Amino acid sequence: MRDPVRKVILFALSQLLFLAACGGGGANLTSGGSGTGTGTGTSTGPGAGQTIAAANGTNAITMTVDSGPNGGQVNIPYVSVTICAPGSTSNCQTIDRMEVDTGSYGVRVISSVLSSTLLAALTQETVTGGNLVECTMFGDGYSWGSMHLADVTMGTEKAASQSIQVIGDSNYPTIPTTCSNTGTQEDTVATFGANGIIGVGPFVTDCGDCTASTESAFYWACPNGGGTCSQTLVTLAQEASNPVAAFTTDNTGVILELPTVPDGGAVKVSGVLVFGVGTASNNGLGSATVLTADNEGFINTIYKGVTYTQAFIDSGSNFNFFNDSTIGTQGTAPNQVYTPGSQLTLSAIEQGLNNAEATVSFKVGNAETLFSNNPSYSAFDNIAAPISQSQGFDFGMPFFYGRNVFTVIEGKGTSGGIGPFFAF
Amino acid sequence: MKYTSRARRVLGTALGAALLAGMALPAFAGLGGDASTVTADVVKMKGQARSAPGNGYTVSQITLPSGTLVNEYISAEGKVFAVTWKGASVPDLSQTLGSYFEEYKAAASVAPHASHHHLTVRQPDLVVVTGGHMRAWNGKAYVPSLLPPNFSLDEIKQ
Repeated sequence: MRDPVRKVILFALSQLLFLAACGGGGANLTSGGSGTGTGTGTSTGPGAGQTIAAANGTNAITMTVDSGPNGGQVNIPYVSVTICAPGSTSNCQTIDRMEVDTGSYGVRVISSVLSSTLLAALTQETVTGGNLVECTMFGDGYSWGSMHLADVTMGTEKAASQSIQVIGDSNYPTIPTTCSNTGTQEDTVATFGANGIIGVGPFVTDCGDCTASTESAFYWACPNGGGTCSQTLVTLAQEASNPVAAFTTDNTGVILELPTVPDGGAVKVSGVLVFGVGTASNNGLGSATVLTADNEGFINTIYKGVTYTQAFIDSGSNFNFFNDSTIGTQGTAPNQVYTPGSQLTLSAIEQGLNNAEATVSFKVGNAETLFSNNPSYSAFDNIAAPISQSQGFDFGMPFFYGRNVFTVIEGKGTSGGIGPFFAF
Repeated sequence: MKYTSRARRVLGTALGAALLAGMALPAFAGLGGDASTVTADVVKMKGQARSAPGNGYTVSQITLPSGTLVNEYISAEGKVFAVTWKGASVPDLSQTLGSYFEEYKAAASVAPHASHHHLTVRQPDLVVVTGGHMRAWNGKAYVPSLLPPNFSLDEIKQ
């Protein structure tokens, strides 16, 4: 899809064109604190009535969509996260380009970005039979790494003594085949596309059942330094967990607030990640529609008269993903993308288990053309691709531009009800 | 009617032999595999299997101990032409994708991707589409050249 050689050439060309066109495109978007969106959408489209909170450094921090630590990424939102040794205020490191993912749970950091001093002070979690290591299964591959206690801080919000994963920890080089046979390995910054990830979705832990069954093969007891690992039970506290749920305040969920993006895309986009929903003056639900999710995080989406029962809203999906055989496609890994002859404006109804509904409009442009015209751009609100699951419909990052999207955690009460729910 | 334990064992052996002989498949063969020869792989995966007829093909559904569901689409010729999976835990893809696993991995590794929730590999002889979110992953894969005549890709469902 994004051929690297072609990309380098086009990148150089585009820099010239960008310089020539600079000032007219408004392609480098930032939100300077509080402001009202100026999108051209209807009441159901992006930008209408949007107010983006100020990044106050307490419960609201800057979130940026750019090309990532090694370049080449599209529609990935990143924040900075401070990791400290448990209880320490000095043995700390602030790590940038941590991916914000509302479709997973837990804090995970690539080992190579951690200083040896900090890594040595992050308490290794242990279980009967060895040290605790996780095989994190993603849709596109797996990440293997050890579980450690750390204090995780964003703004002034702190999750103390969290169980976090150190991906690619060299102490555990022997990956069980049960793990490696789930796909490709993503244990470096280059292969992961981020320095780490914060899973801040609508649940608390990444497994749940792993306290009672080892069958998922998520958690392993391993000898330090390499050797055969065995599947192990863990306690809930040992599982990788949503750090927001562990904050002492503003722990009900998150709001992703990103401005609109022009049809041609943007080099980068800056917005705000807000902690808490209905806990402070800057995170109220207001008039947002609350869409209650089921115990797997799914809502319904009705598109062209068909109800898709495994629908979700997910910042960890960089495009909108749905099936429509009337739209042409091109490309291969990482994604086959829709390439309509001209941009389509489509509509869908998102429906919660609480029967609340919201009609949304969204655009599908020709992804191949958009990428080749703007190879240095990292933000597009009009790229879509087919989805694997026959009942699936996934509003990914394009949906988040020009909307404040709330994700509320299971069991957390708000004025709009108890999570898990999405709202916008 | 009462069976002695020995009688039950004999009956069980007969049933097992019938399954191995290809009667009343379910089987677990892996993509591109020959369903009639690898029934014992259900045992390897420690799965529970059942089968259902489709239009010119059979779907063998295996429930893994992890709760993950694997479907295998078996043609009239006994070849697995498509597979799907669905669950919190991703199954052993070297088993489900069979001889195509290495091709899948090689193609998937070409471009780094920070979007960890969806992936498509589209080769002349292999299509794999995976997706979902944590706690609910799924995937499907098929071999275009093995699809039965008049088969609609919409019939591949998790």
